[in-house]
Amino acid sequence: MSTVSTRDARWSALRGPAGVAVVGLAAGVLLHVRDPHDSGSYGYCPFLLVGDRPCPGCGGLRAANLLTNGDVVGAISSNLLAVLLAAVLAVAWVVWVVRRWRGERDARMIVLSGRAGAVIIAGVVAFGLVRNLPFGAWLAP
Amino acid sequence: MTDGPQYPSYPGDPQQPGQTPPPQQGGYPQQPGPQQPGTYPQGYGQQPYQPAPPPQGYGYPPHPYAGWWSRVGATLLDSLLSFLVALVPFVVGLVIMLSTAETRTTFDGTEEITDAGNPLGWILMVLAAIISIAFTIWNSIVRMGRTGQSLGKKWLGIKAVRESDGQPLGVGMSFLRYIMYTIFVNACFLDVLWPLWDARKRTWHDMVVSSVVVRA
Repeated sequence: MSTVSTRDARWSALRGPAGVAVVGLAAGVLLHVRDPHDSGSYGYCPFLLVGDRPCPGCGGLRAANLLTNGDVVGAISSNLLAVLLAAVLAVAWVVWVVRRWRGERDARMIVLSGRAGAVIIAGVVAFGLVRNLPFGAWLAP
Repeated sequence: MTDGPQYPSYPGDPQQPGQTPPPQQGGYPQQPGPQQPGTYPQGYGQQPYQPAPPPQGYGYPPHPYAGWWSRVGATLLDSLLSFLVALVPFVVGLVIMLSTAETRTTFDGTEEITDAGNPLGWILMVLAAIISIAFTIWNSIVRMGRTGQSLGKKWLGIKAVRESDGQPLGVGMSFLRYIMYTIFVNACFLDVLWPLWDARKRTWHDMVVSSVVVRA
């Protein structure tokens, strides 16, 4: 039975990050080419249709599209959380590649403890509330 | 808060200034499979990453958490079964209804059913819906509550258990878990994506009932 050399094991450990990168880039290209600012290009949001109010995700696709065009300020005004998420994902991906290369073959890209998850959910809900209030209007898309 | 997990302090212990002892590597005895060693870079927000604490004498031997795709696959299989069990009455009922009902086209071009035709048709279709719902209740609530596995989970070798002791949830909790799944999943897709980044690969409906899905 042959053993896998360390060099091969390193490259095979990078398959996960490579797959995620491909998906991320494909999504970026799609959002760049098919503009979510065109009404109906990605369908219609059921939340907005029913409630007539923006949910925390509203403007996320538009923000991503603006980021692919380099307009960071516009993206922030569309959806602040989307921009923050993009930044965190980029950093997390780089760190992930480094860790997998260095030998942690099964490292996951992002791992959140239950408490961190609860904090994030609370933050997202708060964002959703504030952007619907008058003083938070700058957060609305 | 920048401290690690809080350990109980005993009288006489010198107060450690800030640094509590680093958590155990991985927190579980080493298992083959996707167990993650070591500490992690900061997730969102202020909380430093805390690996799931080692089982505090609950007696439940740790199993690897079920992969996301196996959970998706199990759910798809369960949905497929639920559809298949009702397929025959549904199709027969539909055929009867379509062949015996009468319709009429109104002035604005829409079709109106003027006579529903042989009642057996729509009775069979309603029966199909009831069969499907009953199957789902049996498979995803009762069976999963009693054995930890719906048929889909059984075929993919995973089970849903209580986090505290690794036992099946019981029908009551399983029912609550399923209700919460239905509510969450219709509100936001994040419920079923959550295992991708949760430390214990839980969905929101797992968090609510303190369940976890592991390899059987």
